[in-house]
Amino acid sequence: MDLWVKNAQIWVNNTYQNVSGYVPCAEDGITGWQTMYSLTRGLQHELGITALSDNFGSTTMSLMTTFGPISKNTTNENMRELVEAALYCKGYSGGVIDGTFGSSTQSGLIAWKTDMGFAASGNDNAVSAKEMKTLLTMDAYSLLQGGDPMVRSIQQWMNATYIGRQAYQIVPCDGYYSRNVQFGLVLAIQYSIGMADGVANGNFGPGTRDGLLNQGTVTVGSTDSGSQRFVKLFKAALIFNGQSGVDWGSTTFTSATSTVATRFQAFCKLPTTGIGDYQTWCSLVVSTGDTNRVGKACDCATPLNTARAQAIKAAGYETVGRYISHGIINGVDKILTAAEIGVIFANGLSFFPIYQQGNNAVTSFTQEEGEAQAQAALAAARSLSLPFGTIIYFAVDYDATTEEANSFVTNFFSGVRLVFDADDNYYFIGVYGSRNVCSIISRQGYAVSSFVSGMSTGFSGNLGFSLPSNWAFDQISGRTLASGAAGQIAIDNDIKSGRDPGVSSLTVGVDHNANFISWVQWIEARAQEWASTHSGNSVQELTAQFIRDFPAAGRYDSSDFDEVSGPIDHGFRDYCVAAGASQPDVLRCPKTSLFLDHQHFGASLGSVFKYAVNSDRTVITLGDFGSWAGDLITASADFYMSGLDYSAAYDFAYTRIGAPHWEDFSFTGGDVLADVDAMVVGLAIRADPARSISGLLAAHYANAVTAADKYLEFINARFGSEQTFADAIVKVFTQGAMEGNDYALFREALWDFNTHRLLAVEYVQNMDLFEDTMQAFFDKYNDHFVN
Amino acid sequence: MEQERDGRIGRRTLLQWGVAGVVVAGLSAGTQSVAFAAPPSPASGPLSLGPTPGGLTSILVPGASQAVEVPYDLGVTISGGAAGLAGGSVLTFQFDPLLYDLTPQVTATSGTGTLPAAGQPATTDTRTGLTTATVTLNDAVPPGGTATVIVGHLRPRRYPYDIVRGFKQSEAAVTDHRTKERRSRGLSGRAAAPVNEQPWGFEAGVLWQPIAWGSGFRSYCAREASVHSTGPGPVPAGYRVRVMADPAVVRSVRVLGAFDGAAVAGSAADLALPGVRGVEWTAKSPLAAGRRVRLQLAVTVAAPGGDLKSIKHPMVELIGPEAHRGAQRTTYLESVIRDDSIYDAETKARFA
Repeated sequence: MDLWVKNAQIWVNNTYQNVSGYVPCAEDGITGWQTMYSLTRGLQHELGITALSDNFGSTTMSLMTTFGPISKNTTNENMRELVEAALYCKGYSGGVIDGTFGSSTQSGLIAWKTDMGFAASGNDNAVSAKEMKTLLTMDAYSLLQGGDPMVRSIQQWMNATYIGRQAYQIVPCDGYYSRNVQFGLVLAIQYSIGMADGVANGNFGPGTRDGLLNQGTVTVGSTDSGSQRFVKLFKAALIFNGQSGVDWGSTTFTSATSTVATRFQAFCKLPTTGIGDYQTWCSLVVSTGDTNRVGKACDCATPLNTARAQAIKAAGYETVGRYISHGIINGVDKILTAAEIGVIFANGLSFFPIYQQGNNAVTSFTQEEGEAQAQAALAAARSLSLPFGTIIYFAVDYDATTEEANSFVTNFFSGVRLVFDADDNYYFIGVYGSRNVCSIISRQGYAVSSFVSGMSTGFSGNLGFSLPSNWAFDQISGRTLASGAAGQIAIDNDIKSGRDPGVSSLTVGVDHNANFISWVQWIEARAQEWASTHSGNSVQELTAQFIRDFPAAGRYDSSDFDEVSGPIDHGFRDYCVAAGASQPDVLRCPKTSLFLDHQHFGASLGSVFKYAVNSDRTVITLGDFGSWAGDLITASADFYMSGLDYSAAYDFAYTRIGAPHWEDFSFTGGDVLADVDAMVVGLAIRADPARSISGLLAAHYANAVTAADKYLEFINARFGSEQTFADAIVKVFTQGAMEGNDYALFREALWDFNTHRLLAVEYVQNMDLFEDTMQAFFDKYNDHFVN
Repeated sequence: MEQERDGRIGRRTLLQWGVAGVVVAGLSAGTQSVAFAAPPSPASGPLSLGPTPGGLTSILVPGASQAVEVPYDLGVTISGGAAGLAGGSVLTFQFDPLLYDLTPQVTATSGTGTLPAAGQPATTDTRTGLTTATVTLNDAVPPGGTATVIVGHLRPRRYPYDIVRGFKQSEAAVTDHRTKERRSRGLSGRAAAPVNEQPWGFEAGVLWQPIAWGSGFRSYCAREASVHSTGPGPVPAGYRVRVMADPAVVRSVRVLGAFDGAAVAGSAADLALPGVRGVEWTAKSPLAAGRRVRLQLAVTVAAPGGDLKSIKHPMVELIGPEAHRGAQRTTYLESVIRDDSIYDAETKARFA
């Protein structure tokens, strides 16, 4: 609760309570939408508008523009006070809400404008019409938790560059690519095409597509000039889509840009040209990408007979999505039957199962419903004899907002997960939905594969979101095949990533762990080839580097990670991508059912390779910092920043460390698995350089017994005994500076980065926090992993 | 005079620079109950420092304890007193970088005009973690005059990092260039009224029901609304859930029931706000941290004739009980809206 926000609420209610059409806000000191709408209606009243609205639309904008900027010289005192009040609601100082526009207000204006990307200084700052509009929203201009500083830089650049264009509205500068940012990006592209004010409208329509097709291609050596900024915008779009390594500072399309473009193209299953061509632009900007593409998969509600299956095959498709749930569409039940499976196989196709019972806006998404649908799906799958490892996709077939996805949809999938876990994960869970929904559900560990409803470009869940990293099918258009012939069928055309090949046999299951191991073996083979002509890295080091940096490049690629895990040979990475590196499958622990965060594993493995264990096994090195010790530090920092009382430290850590998923916590199950695997595999290879990563993983993931042995091996191989393990845990926080060992320095830097505090000072003051967290880690590891 | 600080939290990026020679310093000042001085002294008084016109805000601290009030501005108002303050006088601000960010430039005013001032690069004491910013006032503050100098502002503390643990008091000091007289003043740490409860917060979740009419017009109303308690403390009893919609689109909204596994007691009443149709539900019991209450709603749709002149965006809003607002966290999800209704030509062009 903020007293000055409350003062702002009281002021706006008192000032406009008798104005017809004014809707008051709660005077609770909490900034919310109703407060912003009350301020908006107050502003509209000052502008002479009588039909007040929550919407700061074209009428309000036009009148505000005519009114002119609001400054300390504005004669309308209420206008000045509206600005002062709104600044507080945005988290900036507004001075005293009296219209003075004094030094505190000026300081707040400067801070706000600077955050938006504008230059501001002095004692006479004014608020323009567009700035007023954005001031009355809930948009943030400081970096939000989880936001990308590079994205924020681009947001600020966009604001500074395009603020003068008619249709361009100030975008948030919070480090997130969102719907309004995507709208701004499309406008920026339209301006570069040469669309005039009044024509450019932020819609990725035929005119924009034609413009990109004819003018937008950028290649190595291309440079921006004048108002044409295709190079900068292409780079911005790459960054918005989660690509790292983009040389944002330059206006030239360099070989580095080309490398990143190639990586993105490979991820999206586009031709890897390395240039900013039309198809790549489309995939960067809109969820369908170029709708003229024909994928290798499709999905349909119509049961397949021989003619239809032949038509699908003839059109170039390999895999067809079919429903394993009932539903009458055009008088026909959409459900897959055993007979149809025979037809599919006979025509050289595979299929992937979809379960959907309603699952649209009018159906409640509850945990109970998720359990019920999961039970029904398992029964259907078993009745069809679907083999183990089959991924069953559960549908979220409407435009779920982020709040709905994080609440109702998450509850639904938690129910699905409960049932699948009880079935010993014979089948795996996939999700069908918008990009945002798929990413949220996958990030929470509920789905291992995404079937994206990319065709719905107007879905808010597809605007301003990149493809989920685990996408298997991307539904981009509808088609009718064999029109007028016996095999005529309406299908949805899907791009296929290869992550899920579908079911091609009822007698041979999908061993996802084996698929992952095969993927590692493929990388090792490329590493052998590369190492034969490039020195500096062993086969195992090269393999670890690729695992660390694929498919989400940049997650563990920075100068900081180079220090701890060793630098990545980007040439080798590009070599593998050019050779057609596929998306990895999942690797699931047979004992704990946790899924390995393979990129984390690669990074931690690199640090174990780089730094040897000290002869005193209680001593912490950077090899530990790059794995379990670093995670323990950030877990402690997570608690420190949580604001919970110190007495809650043990429970906080115990419930979260090693859990399958926990929002805003950095040492969950996938992380523990990655750290343990890295240490066990890394130490084994250090002891015997002839061993392979794939061989060691295959051995440890063979069954629950070998998995259990691995957790014990982590203690024995690294520490030698339980007591040494316990003593080493203590040293994570107490070890001082040592010659030839920079661990203490990195520990301080990591703690300071997360908390803006000095660890040495905090440890003395708040020993309980650290001791309880250490104890919780030791107990949880033994209770849940070893025993 | 700018600090470079990446606000991203997480192990995924490490700082390259290490911290050399860490020494365990003494205990930090913590949160001290030091209020600001009285208003600036009159013309005949001594040189003194006082608050800027900017307001105070409260910062939540862990545990069941007091919230602390700190100023928005990292700045002071200097009263020159009877002798004034000589040009060339130096002002220093020692502050906790956990709380404040420096602005790119100093804002210094004297009366209604700008006071020329120059800042030097800030330095950080690696023993204490405190940062010091130094400003030289190029012009004098005349006898009886005042000057306001602002060098920074409160760092945004957005949820979930809004509860601040053990921040250190900030301090400003001025040294007169002519007389070498020095004045200093603590800038933060005034305790607010005792709260005696753990910080608490809530987030709204909504399942939207689309409402279509005419030729391509569309709005929404909440079909289900949820309240998630963020913790660490429970949401106190008496919290309210407001479901709002435009009267042209929605005739009524009723609460069918509230559930958290089992039924949750509460009372519902039609919203009595002008220009709004909806319902307000009040909870009779607290909501424990981590729990979620779901309200099932029944919506009776109106029948708009065609386009609308204006719209009340459909909204679900959570309002905490007044007596407990001192401990309330701001999650920025206390209200959730749909702002993509299609109700006129402009919105049709934008959202259709």
